[in-house]
Amino acid sequence: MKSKCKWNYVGIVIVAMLMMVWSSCKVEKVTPITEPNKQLSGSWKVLKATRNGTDLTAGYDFTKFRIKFEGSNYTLTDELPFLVYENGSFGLDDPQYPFKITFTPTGGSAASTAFNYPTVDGKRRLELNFSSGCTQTTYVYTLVEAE
Amino acid sequence: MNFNIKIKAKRLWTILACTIIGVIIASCSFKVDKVDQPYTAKVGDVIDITVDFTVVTNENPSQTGPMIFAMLMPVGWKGAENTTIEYTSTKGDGKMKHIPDSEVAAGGSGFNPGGLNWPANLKRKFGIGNNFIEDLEWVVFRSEDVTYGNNETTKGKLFIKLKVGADGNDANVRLAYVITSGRDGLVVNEFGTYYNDFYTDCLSVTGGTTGDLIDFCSPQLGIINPPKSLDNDFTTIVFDSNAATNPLQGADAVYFKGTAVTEDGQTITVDEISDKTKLTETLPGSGKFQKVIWPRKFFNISKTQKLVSLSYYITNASKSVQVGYNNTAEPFKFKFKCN
Repeated sequence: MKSKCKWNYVGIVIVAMLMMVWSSCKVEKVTPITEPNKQLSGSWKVLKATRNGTDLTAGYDFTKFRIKFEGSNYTLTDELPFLVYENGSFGLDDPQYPFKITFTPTGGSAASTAFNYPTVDGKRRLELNFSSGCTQTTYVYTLVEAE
Repeated sequence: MNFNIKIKAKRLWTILACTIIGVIIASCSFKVDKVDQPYTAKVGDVIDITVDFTVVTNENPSQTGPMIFAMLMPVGWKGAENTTIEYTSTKGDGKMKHIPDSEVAAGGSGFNPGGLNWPANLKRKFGIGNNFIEDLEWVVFRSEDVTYGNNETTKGKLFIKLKVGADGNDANVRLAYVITSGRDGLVVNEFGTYYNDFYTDCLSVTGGTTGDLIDFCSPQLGIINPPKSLDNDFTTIVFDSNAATNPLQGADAVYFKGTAVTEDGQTITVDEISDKTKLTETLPGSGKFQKVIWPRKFFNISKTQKLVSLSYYITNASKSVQVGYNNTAEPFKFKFKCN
């Protein structure tokens, strides 16, 4: 009798441990994270402009330039040396992981450029690399959303 | 008592060992010992340049990575295509390979802020060397991987073949050289300086086909940067009032006055005293003024027109004084072209 009670006690402990093990072994369901499409919607202004690495921002009036993305279209306000000079449509080579942006002005031919989409201080930036004159002269416009 | 003496001796040895290690670590360095290069050449010549270097490393455990070698030269020389480099060293011989612009330079955020590529990070750090015109680039090469150990000195020699003047222009230019670590980049820290920059005298390249001389070596009253640009580029009009004796030395405000010629023969003159034509002094009292323009907009040409040339003077606010090329009555002249 004494022995039976001892076994019961051991059995309870074993059952309790099994329950603990069972309850602890939940398979964690990992939901794959989907990279959101890059949203360019809105009006963008020039934060910085460089020519072959030389900063031009303080030397030229970039303040009036805007490029507004809306749906699949863009509109330009004020002109700067750029890939296109007329309003039109745009597209990304990959909406989730874009490497290239293509501007197609209405009635004109398409122009593509590499671009980056970094986040700095919690705000998205749009960095466009292009040549507008001599090919050995490369410009980088860093755009931020206009307030 | 004896016990105390043992502890002190041990501590003494520890301090001594740390000091020795510290001295060794602090001596880590890359150095260009000597450069042999010609100082005259003809356009199209392949010139031989040799560079002797020494690398002192204190890597424990040892580290493997390439050595980086960069040359500053005119953009128009297309250095990536027109340069070959072979090397011999106490760590082995080999050929260097050009590093593409797509590769981000080593150095991390501390020594490569902005994650620039090698040419851009070198330009950020060393600019255009001892030259006066911007149209120069750092052309960057890497060696095969080398394993650097503790307290090691690596000596070597680079054998460079450079075809000069691919753009056909005569040029006076001060080449410059940098060696650094491919793993670390342009780092200076408590362990040493992981790069060395070396500047040379003026190399004169003559016999060009275009009839143009680009003089990177001399301060000039008026230049346009970049010297090769089209009307759809941003161009910077630079006036250095201290480059030569002229009546605008000491002026606190100077203005552009010029005439552009279009492909269809039209001439367009901009002659006004306004913010549009005012050059800004780069530093107060420096006497160096500049203005960035977009020529197409500045001269207000139509979408179908192209500018082919520009002639201009720099004036004072009352237009009573105007300065031209070499302080003569001739205007500064510029052709819109890419070669």
